[in-house]
Amino acid sequence: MTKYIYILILAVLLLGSCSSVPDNPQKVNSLPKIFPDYVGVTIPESIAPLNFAMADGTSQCLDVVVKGSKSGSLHVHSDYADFNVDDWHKLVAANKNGKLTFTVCEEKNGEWKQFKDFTVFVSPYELDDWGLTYRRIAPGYEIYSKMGIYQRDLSNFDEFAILENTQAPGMCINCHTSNRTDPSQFTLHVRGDHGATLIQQNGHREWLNTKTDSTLGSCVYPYWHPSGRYCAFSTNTTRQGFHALPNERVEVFDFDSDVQVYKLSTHELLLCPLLQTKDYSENCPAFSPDGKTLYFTTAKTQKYPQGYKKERYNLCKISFDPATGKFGNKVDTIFNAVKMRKSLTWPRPSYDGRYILFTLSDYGYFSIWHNESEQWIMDLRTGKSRPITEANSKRADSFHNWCRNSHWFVFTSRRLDGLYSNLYLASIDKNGRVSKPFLLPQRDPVTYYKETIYSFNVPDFTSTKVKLNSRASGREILSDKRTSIHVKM
Amino acid sequence: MIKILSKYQKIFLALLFGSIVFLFWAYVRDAYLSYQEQYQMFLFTGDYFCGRLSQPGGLALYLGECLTQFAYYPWIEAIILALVFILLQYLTALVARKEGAVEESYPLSFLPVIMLWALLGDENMLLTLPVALVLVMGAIVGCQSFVSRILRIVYVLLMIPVLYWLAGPVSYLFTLFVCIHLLLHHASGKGVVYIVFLVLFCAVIPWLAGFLVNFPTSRLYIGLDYYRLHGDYPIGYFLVPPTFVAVPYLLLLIRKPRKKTLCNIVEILFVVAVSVPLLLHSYPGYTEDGMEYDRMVRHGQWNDILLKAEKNSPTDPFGVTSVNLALGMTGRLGDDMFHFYQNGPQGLLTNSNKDFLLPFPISEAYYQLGMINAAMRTTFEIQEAIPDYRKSARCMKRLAECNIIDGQYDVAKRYLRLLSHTLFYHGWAEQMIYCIDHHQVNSYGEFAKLRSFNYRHDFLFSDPEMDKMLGQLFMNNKQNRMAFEYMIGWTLLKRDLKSFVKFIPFIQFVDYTRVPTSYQEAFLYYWITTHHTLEGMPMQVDTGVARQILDFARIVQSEGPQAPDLQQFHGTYWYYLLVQHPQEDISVNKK
Repeated sequence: MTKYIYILILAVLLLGSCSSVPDNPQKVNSLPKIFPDYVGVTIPESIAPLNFAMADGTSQCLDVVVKGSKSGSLHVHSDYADFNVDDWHKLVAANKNGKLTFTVCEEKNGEWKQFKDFTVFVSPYELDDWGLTYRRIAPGYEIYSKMGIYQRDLSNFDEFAILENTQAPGMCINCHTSNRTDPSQFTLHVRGDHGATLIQQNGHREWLNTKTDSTLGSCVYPYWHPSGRYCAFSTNTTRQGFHALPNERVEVFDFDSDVQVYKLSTHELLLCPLLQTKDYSENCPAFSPDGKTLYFTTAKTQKYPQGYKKERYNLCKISFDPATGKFGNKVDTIFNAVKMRKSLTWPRPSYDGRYILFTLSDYGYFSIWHNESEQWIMDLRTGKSRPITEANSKRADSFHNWCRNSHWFVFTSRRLDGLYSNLYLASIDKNGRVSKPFLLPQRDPVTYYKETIYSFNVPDFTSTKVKLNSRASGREILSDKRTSIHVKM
Repeated sequence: MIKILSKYQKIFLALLFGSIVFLFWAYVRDAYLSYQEQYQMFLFTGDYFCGRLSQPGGLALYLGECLTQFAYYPWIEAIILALVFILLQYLTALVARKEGAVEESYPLSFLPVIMLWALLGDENMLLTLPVALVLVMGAIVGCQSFVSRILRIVYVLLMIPVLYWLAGPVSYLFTLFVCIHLLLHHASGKGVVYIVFLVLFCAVIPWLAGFLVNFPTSRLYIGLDYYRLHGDYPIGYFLVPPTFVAVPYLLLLIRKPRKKTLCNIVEILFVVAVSVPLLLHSYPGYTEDGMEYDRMVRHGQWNDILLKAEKNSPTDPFGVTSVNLALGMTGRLGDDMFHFYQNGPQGLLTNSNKDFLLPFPISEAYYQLGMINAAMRTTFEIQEAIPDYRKSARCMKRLAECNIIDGQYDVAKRYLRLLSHTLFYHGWAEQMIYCIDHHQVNSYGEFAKLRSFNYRHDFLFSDPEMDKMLGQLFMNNKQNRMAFEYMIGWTLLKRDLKSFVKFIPFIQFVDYTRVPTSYQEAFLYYWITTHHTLEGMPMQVDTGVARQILDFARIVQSEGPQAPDLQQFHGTYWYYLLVQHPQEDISVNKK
């Protein structure tokens, strides 16, 4: 409905705008400063058009010609570069593993200027997932207004709500996580008066009460076992603090946290003393692609809030037997961030088993509120790690996830203004080189990104569109009927 | 004269009614209008329009918000409300006349809109409902205009879903009207079948809408945007709208009277007799008090706040915080804070309430003190707490200001861009963007001053340690007199005289010509209770204050702290300490 009204209004507006054409434009020996910055990025074949505008927002008209290195071209002439979705896909598909050259002319004060051409590389690696899922929420403190979990078709600009908190006023929804991008199995949490953890498998919904007498509290950060029989969760006693200085706002720290594994078939929590230590907080679990290793982070528990800056996490692993659900009897530290006076969070193994992506910041684990946080990658074949300088920025670069074929990853970054987090995609080639990331395309990117009052967080790829009966879910949330889980004795 | 009045009776009554409505909103309940304006941010953008129209009742919501934004200037909004009320009354009368009501019943057609006026006394009732009723009544008039039966059927079948989408669930009144009309005029077998069909059709539309939007089905039947809260609807919410259809039909019962003038006079008297108590009951004074304090805080009318409080010292948290802020802003906190009712340290600053109204003066106090991050957080939380998911232009403006002061210009610009799409904040937003782009922020208003007040060293905010945070703020910039007064005020209200004595020496850094009275009183009390003599006291105390405490002590010793004579000491710190709030222990030797 919104879409059609929008198109109608756009059509009316477009009829009367941007009528002159670049006739013998003045050549400028610099690249155009465009928003979003798509200069030199690498894109997958299936991505939506890279619409853009001049960054300073003062141009009267843009004339953009895109030529493929192999074949085809596109021409747009408008207030901003707004490409036709079908034409764009034809051009990009024809130039896979090639490049697109953009010639940008800008009309300003009645005069046309032509900038140096820039290129966009079309990756040989497909992005074979349908789209992205993410949460959209105002970057606030303790209270939340309208928010929800959404999915976005990566080949165009269509966004769909998976579940919004309007279905049950006052609730917070978070941590939507599917199993290796497969939406037939996913989990999400509902917080508030009608709190629950949803596990949906092949369309069947189960609302869990994950609090037990033997664990710290509800299940929090999830990660699926590749078999789909288990889901690892952290359980956290979390508090927030609020900074006095302007460049920091919120601090999130855990008085305590543990890691546990939920067995779906029996509604049991599998516990391990090595993941529930007294003096350490275990957090952010993630299974290896073969399901035999459980990665997690661990930090020495501090006195809070005074010691929040001393809370630093390492990356560890413990073996896990999927057949018996038993854990190994030793924990290995595989990345000692504490030694670097850093803290590691959000480990995400690539699904091909070659890498682990993680975030490093000065302390704590809630890296989105840390300007210094940046992404690192560990090559599991060599054990070497490095910061992804190709993709990092001066502002918070945080949560990330891999696409199904492990050649693309999505991450959140606050690089635009330091507060509102947006989604960027980057590719990694067979040699481990990461491409310049690009901001998730939007039809009118300037209006969308510079005027939205929502942050994107917890992004993940989804191989197909997520199907959740939000209406029935809303009823079920309000009904408070929950399945209890218990600890395996 | 009577003949002229009789001839132009309708115009006269409409003008009279409109004038009363205007005067009511413009001069009696103007703070109510400001209150409504601050909980929305109407944007003149295509996205905003489309967003509103993408849910049931969207057009009524959009128009309601559009009209509400004019409450930035309450007198304009008062005119708008008067016109909306007159229009609704006119449509009610028109529907009644077209259904066959006699002209003499005209005065009674004011009843539904007067009941609606009373319903709006609930501050959570939104202008969306009156606008939706205008749309529905307009659709009913349109239905009455069709001569062709076929066209009328097509119109009705079309309007039921369309009207639901544009005006929301109150559109059921349209179906109700059609059904009553059919029952009265076409009560055949076919007519009954048609009625049953229409009722079912009308009932199924909200359910079907549930497939398009993410709201609980119950809310699609009750209404998404007529009422700010989700639940706790007043009974009038359900009873008033049907009167717009019921009254026109009830007027059919009135037969043409022999004495038209007498009939009209009786009817007018009846309407007045019903309206006056209804309105008086619907607009209680205490609600307006809070809104008035809020408006004065918003516009920095500190002296007006104190003038109002001097007449009747507020005892609610909102009023107390507002009065303390006004005292702080006028430099009277040290002298006069105990002349007004105090409810403890939370009367200065507290952030425990997750409300969408109470934190406004607290947020303002943080801002004026220079605790910019705290002001920003409180403002953000107010906006997020608005129950109907709307954003607030007032909050957005303050968020922009905080981010400008903090030097977070990119974030500030995001808010300013949004405000530049509004009608009344547009100019300010453009000016601020210009200031940022041309590095003129420090020369604008109070930004430079507040920037210099802000913290230099980071720490995590801690409500229980407010006095220390205020102390750090003051030590950071000793020109920040309000920080000093809030710090001392905090210890006094907390009855923490040990901290008071620890902090009071810093008074040397503040440009007082004399030590404020309440500080003298507190210090004197401390000194006497710990030293049992006035000799050697390091603070110079006015003779009157010293004499007063001796009288106070004498009465307390002889008659106890409940002695009626102690009333004369109302306004002193001792009265607050021992009479007004005697239940807590005092952190000094009680001898």
